[in-house]
Amino acid sequence: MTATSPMTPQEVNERRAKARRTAILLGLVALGFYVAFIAMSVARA
Amino acid sequence: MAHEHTADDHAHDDHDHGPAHGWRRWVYATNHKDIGTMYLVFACVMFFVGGAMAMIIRAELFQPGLQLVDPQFFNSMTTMHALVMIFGAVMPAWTGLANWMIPMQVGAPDMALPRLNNFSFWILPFAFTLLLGTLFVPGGAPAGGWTLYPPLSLQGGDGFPMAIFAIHLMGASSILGSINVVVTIMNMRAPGVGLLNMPLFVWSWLITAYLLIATMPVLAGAVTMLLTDHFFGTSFFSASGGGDPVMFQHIFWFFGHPEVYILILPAFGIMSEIIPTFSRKPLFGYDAMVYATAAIAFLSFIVWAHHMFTVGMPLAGQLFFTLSTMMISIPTGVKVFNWTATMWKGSLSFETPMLFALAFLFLFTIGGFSGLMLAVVPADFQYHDTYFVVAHFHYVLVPGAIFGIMAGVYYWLPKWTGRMYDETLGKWHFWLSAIFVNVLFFPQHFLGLAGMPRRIPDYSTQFTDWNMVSSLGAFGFGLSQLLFPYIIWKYIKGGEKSGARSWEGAHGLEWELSSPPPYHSWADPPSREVIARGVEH
Repeated sequence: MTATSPMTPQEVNERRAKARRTAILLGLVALGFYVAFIAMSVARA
Repeated sequence: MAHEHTADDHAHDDHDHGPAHGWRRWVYATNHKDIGTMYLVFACVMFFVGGAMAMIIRAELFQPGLQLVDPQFFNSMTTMHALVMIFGAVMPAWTGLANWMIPMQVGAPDMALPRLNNFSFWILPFAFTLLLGTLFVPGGAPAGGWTLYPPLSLQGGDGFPMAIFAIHLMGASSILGSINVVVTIMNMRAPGVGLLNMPLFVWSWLITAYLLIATMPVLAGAVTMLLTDHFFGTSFFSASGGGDPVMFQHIFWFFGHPEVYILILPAFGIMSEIIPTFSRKPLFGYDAMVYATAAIAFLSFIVWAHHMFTVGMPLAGQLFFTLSTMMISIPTGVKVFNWTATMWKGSLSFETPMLFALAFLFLFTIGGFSGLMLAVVPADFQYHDTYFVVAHFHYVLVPGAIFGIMAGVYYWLPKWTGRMYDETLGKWHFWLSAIFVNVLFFPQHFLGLAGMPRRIPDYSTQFTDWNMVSSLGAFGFGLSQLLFPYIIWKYIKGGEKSGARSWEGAHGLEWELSSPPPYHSWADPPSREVIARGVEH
């Protein structure tokens, strides 16, 4: 079995940063839906 | 598993140890397999708690009149049964399967955010302690249905704010779990595992996770507003204060309909794993399956008002929601026909996972057809809030979601543990479940068509016979589920050893790992040869 070469520390750090960025973005999207639906209801009520 | 530390030992610091011992292993767990196991055990416990509530409901409905429980408690049971089964059993079971399988299937060492993963799980026991605790406070548990429609839900006792807080916690757990799934799939795939050669289970979970991220906050928003209406004098949903109770229904079902697909899409993914394995053929129409899943998810956002035709809406609205609902049958049909085409001229064998998958195929389709009947406005006016609706969604969720989970557990159990379950007992479990689930739910179609309303503890005497049949089916189904933990306990005690590829036709990166897999699988990414053998195309 030819193993794929392990990632370099730099690649690992880049992947961690990218994962963190994606997670924060998705968290903001979720927060956006929460706030948007309450704001819409405030506007209607 | 070869573990080649060449350039970057630092990167593997977290992977060089085995599991911690004792309670620390579970409380501080960051390993995806441990967290997956905890989710699955939690889901199993909640399945029996929710099942016990269903037994109380069916025992009360065994004959007309009030026999066992008072009407308020009966309504609490219907409400709590739904909340426990949806948020406590089915969703955690899917998250458990996702935790176990996604990293192994995409060649990742773990989930992308392991500590968040731990947090997502450990929120759940607190949430459900709070929710089940409402049974013991003045005023009792929520009794207005899982849909929590105001103004009825606002009349709850001390249990109301507890239930609302519990729902917020469950939502937070689901959102955090989903973020983890998306981040893992988008960032942690091994080189060579592309988006369009991931296993269908991973694809279906990716789409499910996006649905969760978009819809759980909407439910959270709706229940937050219920809370402020109850305690802080707002009038979002109170007509007397200028609010609109129907607006709650719109918001709730904007969450609620995609939620149905959140419960069923991972089952579609599992079917797409199991059917090719036991047909010994590649999946027919892989790309079409991916696009069909995405189409179902998209359509699930634009059909919500078919749950509330009877509140009244313009003709154009009725037509739009009828047609958009019917359109869902197109991608769903693509999936059903592709599974059938996968089996066509295959070398089929009928082990327990395949039996559950086939039952899923037939019985979920029945649930789909009754859904089409409910999409027709004039017919829905007749069926709305009757047992026909109960039969419809239970056909989708029991032989659909629950059988999907059972199929997945039987399929991957030999991989997780390195041991085979008792096939004879597995088949007993399947046949008893498949027979009793139909005895339980099929008569409810007749009851609904004859006009029996849902969520009532008493009924007119003409409904007696089919209610008795349905209740007998429920007791049989409930008892047959006790086989499941027994089968697992029995084979943990010493089942036959399983090889790396537990099933002859199994295909995927997880089957390239030993059974059981190492505590830290894919600490180094899989080789090109392994990927070529393991991925779909």
